[in-house]
Amino acid sequence: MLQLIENEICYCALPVRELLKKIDSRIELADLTFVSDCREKYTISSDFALIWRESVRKSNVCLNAEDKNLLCSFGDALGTTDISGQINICRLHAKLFEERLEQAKQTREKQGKMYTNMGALTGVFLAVILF
Amino acid sequence: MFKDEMTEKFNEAVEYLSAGLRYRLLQVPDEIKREVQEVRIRASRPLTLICHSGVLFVTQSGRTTYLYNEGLHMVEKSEVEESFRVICGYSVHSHKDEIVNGYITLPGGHRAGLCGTAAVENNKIIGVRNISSINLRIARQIKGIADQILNTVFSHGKWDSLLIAGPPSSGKTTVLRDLTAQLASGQLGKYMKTTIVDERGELAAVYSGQAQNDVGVNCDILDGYPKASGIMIALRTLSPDIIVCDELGDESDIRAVEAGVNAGVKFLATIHAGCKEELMRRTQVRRLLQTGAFSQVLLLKGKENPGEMKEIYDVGELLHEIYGVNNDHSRRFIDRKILLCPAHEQGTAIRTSSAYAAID
Repeated sequence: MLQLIENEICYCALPVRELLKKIDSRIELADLTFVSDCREKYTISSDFALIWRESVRKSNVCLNAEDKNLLCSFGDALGTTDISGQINICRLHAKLFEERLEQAKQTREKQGKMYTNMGALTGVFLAVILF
Repeated sequence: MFKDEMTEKFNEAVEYLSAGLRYRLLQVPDEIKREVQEVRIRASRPLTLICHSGVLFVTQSGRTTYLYNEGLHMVEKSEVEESFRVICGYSVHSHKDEIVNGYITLPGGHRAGLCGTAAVENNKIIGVRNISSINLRIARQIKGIADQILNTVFSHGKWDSLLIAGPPSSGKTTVLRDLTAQLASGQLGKYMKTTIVDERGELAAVYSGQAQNDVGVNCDILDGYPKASGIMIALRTLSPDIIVCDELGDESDIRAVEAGVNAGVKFLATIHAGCKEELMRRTQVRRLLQTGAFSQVLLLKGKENPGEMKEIYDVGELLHEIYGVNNDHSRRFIDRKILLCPAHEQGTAIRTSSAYAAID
């Protein structure tokens, strides 16, 4: 999504309303239900950042609280600067999300090993008790 | 425009401000809303309304007063910033050129003028940061305001070029817009092919490719084009009967008008001039009159009576007064008009003498 936004801003200077429409129409981004929710609620006089925040918070997208916070901070900055500023904001958030993904992978690996070991130990323990 | 429509226009315009400002402005009594021409939003200054009757300040409860005293709503910096973002549709990046030009056109034809700190590169403004004030001008298309002019100036049913002059806020643009709409909609018995060169977006107020003001059925709009380039493009590609421009003045505009005259096109334009003396004194006006593009100059009364005619001058006579009876140039101008009149009506291109350019 961030890459798409960056490209659309960089090459077409697409306004936020059009960006939401574009993201909403992409099948591969269909999981990001908060986008369509935000698009429906956003009117000319409404506070975009507030609506984005509410939509992200309410959505059941598979993100934890910290990820959602990061997404909210992206919404706060979206459309508030000129093109180069927006590109920087997209890149910064893309990098931060990559770091979060890396952290999540490491956690999964670490915890995955721990749960495998725990499972094996539980199995041994049960075998000892039963026999 | 009906009273309710005028109130509605005000409500429509303030939708583009921050929630706090919008709330207060919607509380303003309807009779004031109808009068408001501009809403001034300045950081750390009171929320101000510019009306025909004067300057009004908005209180915290949405009432209005002519006195600058306690209880007024002082605009916060954050309200200016938030209003700026709403005006941009939370897409500042999409309005770069408009911000650099100093204004953003809104749906409904309203316009937000912006003040801030300019970012300059090679003597050119490349951006504006720290927006400090916004002037929200409320679009008021007054249909029929040009009826009197249409009936007086073109009572014979024939159309000729017209230069509308007047002081600021005398209704030049409003008259020009209505006159354009009426001519393009066949009020003189023919749907005249009209092209508006709308450099500042004030006439048609195009938003997302759609004119927000009614400018007639047979009308093309060159939105945002510099006047000189727009006139040349219109001549080359749109074959107009009439080219409409607001506020002519630059030397390049005058040269483009001259080219238009040579192509047999009529002009409908405005220019700043408060009185006849100013009209005759200003070099740019004289240059414009010498092009032969205009046969009449219409002077409007002023901001107390917007859109009302004060006087109509014959260009030949004006030039006569400027350069004197024995002046060769003025005589030549009049002679040329008389000689070329029949050819002009047959649609033959007029050749304007470039000698007029040398007068000033």
